[in-house]
Amino acid sequence: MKRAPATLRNYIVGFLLSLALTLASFFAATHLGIAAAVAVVALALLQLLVQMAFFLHIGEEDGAHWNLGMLGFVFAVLGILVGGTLWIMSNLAHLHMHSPTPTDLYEGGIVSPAHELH
Amino acid sequence: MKKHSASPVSFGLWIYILSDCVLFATLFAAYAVLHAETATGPSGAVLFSLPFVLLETLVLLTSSFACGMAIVATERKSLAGIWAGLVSTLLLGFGFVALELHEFRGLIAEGHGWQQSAFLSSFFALVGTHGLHVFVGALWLVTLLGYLSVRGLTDRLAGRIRLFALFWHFLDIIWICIFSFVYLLGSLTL
Repeated sequence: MKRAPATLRNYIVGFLLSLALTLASFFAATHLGIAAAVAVVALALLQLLVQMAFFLHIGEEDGAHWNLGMLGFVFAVLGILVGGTLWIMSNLAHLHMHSPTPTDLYEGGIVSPAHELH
Repeated sequence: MKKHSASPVSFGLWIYILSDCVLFATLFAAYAVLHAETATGPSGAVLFSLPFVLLETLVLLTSSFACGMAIVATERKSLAGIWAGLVSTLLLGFGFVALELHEFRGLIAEGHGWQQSAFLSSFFALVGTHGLHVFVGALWLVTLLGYLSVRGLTDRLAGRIRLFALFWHFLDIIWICIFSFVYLLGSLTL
């Protein structure tokens, strides 16, 4: 039976890596300004991988293919959920960018059919 | 951990954790959509104190590591190691919840509660849900410690400690997302 290698070394390496990544993204955010956004996202994704490998031991436990299959399915769901939400809502914001003038509005703030034809 | 008895349980917990990921994903999506809707109130860049949040992050990360140390001690059947690991995990976990409540109380006292803007509503919903998970996880750990003090280390308890560790590491992973995407990115939009 293959057992997840819950070794001391594994946890210490994972802890030190997580610590370094956390501090790196903190200093990037506090010192680099707006340019740090890419670094913060990249460091966060890296840290997710580090913690999944060293703390959760993904893929090394019993029945790993079932666990990994579920994980892949959930990642797909997360992608659809978050990506889809952002896509739809940004579309909506884009369509509302040309805010209607008062003459385009009925009482109660409803956009007139004439406005929607543009 | 016997394969035939513990595996379905840990698979069940795994499915719960993954469905919890979906819950957090909806809250993250809501926050991503609403984070700019401050309704003339302050934005995250004004409200967030990054050094304080870094402290919270380090406390939770260390708690996750202490939980890993308890797992190592469980493998080695070292009772003292399990106690040290789990009690540190518990204290750091409650410390994290206390820090978060302190942060929330500060925001609410200054009038920046969840009712001020859509940004703050989604912020409190997301961060508060995570904090609630940590609190409930800490209660779970209290019951494990009670079991350990009464019956000692049984095979069954060892399995339960492993399940708890899975949940606790998961909560730290969610917090990494909150720390990076809510606090650090939120502070950049100055």
